[in-house]
Amino acid sequence: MVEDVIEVSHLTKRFGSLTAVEDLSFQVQPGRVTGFLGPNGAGKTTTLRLALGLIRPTGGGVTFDGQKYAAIPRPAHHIGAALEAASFHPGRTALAHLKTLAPEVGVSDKRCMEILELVGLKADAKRRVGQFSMGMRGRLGVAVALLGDPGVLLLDEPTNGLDPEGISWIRSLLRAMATQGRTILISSHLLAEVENTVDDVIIIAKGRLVHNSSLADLRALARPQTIVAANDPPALGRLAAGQGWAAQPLPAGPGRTDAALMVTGPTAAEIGQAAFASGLALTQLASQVAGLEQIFFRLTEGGGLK
Amino acid sequence: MTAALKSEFRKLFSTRMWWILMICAAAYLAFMGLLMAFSFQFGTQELSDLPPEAQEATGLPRGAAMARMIYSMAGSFAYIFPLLIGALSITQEYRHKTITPTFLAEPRRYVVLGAKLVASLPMGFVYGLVCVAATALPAALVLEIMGGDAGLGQTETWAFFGRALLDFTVWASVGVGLGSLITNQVALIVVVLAETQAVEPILRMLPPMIGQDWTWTDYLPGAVGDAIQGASLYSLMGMDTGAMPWGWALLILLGWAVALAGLGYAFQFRRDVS
Repeated sequence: MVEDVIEVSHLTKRFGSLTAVEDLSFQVQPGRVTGFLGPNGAGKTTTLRLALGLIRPTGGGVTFDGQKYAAIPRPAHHIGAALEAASFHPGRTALAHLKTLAPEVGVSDKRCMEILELVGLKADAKRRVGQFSMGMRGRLGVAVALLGDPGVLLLDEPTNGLDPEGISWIRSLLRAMATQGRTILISSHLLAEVENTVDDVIIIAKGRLVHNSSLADLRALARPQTIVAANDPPALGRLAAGQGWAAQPLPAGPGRTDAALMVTGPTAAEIGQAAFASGLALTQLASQVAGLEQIFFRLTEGGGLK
Repeated sequence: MTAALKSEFRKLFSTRMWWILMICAAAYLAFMGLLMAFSFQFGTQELSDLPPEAQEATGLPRGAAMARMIYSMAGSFAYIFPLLIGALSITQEYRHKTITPTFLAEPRRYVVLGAKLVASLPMGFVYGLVCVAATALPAALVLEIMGGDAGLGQTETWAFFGRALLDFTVWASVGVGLGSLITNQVALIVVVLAETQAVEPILRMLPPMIGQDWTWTDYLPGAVGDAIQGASLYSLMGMDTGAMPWGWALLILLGWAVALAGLGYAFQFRRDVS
């Protein structure tokens, strides 16, 4: 199998006065599942459509193993894509839908049935797509993408509309395909949805790249946060200042009558030790889950790490 | 191109639209064929008491020529059906967003458009067979029962059927050309109805009203379509369609298909799909 690198370089797309994608550059490596993340409207779908030649860039471009999509003969044989949840004629059966594409993709009719079996739609092959649930449409979209047994897979929000079983199915499918050396890019507006699936993350906001690393490196960016309260708030304030902790006052709220601090940096254990050493009695010491989602928000809202 | 053609054929025949639209066309034409055959035959028999000169003065065709004029309703009234099936082969793809997988499987959009143009021809031909038969069979039956001449023994009648089939065949590709230019389905249907039911009939009525017998309106698609058949109900209204040789008319209608597809490709079909 050809190991295809997806290379996005200086990609820019303007729709009139609106800039959807601006000077975007990144690489997607084979053998890994890459998450393409950003809030809704960040330009993810536009980037995928630009990569696939469905819309023309204002500047820059995207290549697969050095070639533009439109320049590849029988491209769907090398690059499989599922872009929107519902690009099916409701009156056509699942099998007929695949068969309309098979000649151009360059596969036999037999392959259409095999792929339906692979995505778990064998029993529904002769049913009209109009009767399909969102989850079934999602599976059929993946079937279309896989039809040509491609080395590169681009999926836009593949977990949308899938039930938990479907999500776990697509996870193991993508993992297996990455292990075979394929290049896989999946977009999502929720990091949590793909957190257990991806190896690498590319995060964009407002059409610009804000982060590009492995998931492990992204995790390392997380700094622990702890809610701390004491029966002597001024003493707690002095302790935080003395230790040089980044602390923000939290107002009293549900379950908390004392004023508290949100401390970023030290772990809960370090805070507890310091309080003990200075003879301060803590009334609350709650470690907040330093989730990836929080980093994700920080990255995408501020337009980059400050 | 072969693969694209195969894909387009499968798209045409894998939804129910082609036969639903065909049944509508056939039912409408069968009814009109019965009605017209009865009316014209009845009228002719009423007129038969008049002296021959008076009958001539009515300008109505007689015998087999009258039968052919009735059969020509297929093309004159129902060309909108192959036109629509051709145009919908594009607008449906935009409406249901299947244009995305279509362009992913074949990014060379001129190949997609070319395949749609070619694939529409056999579909138009099948529409022709069904529409001509649906008009002619009941009409011929009525004419024979009422003692008229259905003209089925004449070579001229069968040559007319052949030309009508060609007319239907090419109309489907005119539809594809129009669909490539107007990819929005609602807009397309409005344009098709306005053009075929109002704009063109009105334009074609103008020259006879101002006493001209040859004008640019002869080149309008509906007019050349009638000229391909060489017989039309419109000729009764003074719109002579016999002037243009049918071969030329066929080429001009093909020209419409190609010109519309060219315009569509240049201005609409290559646009961003998002």
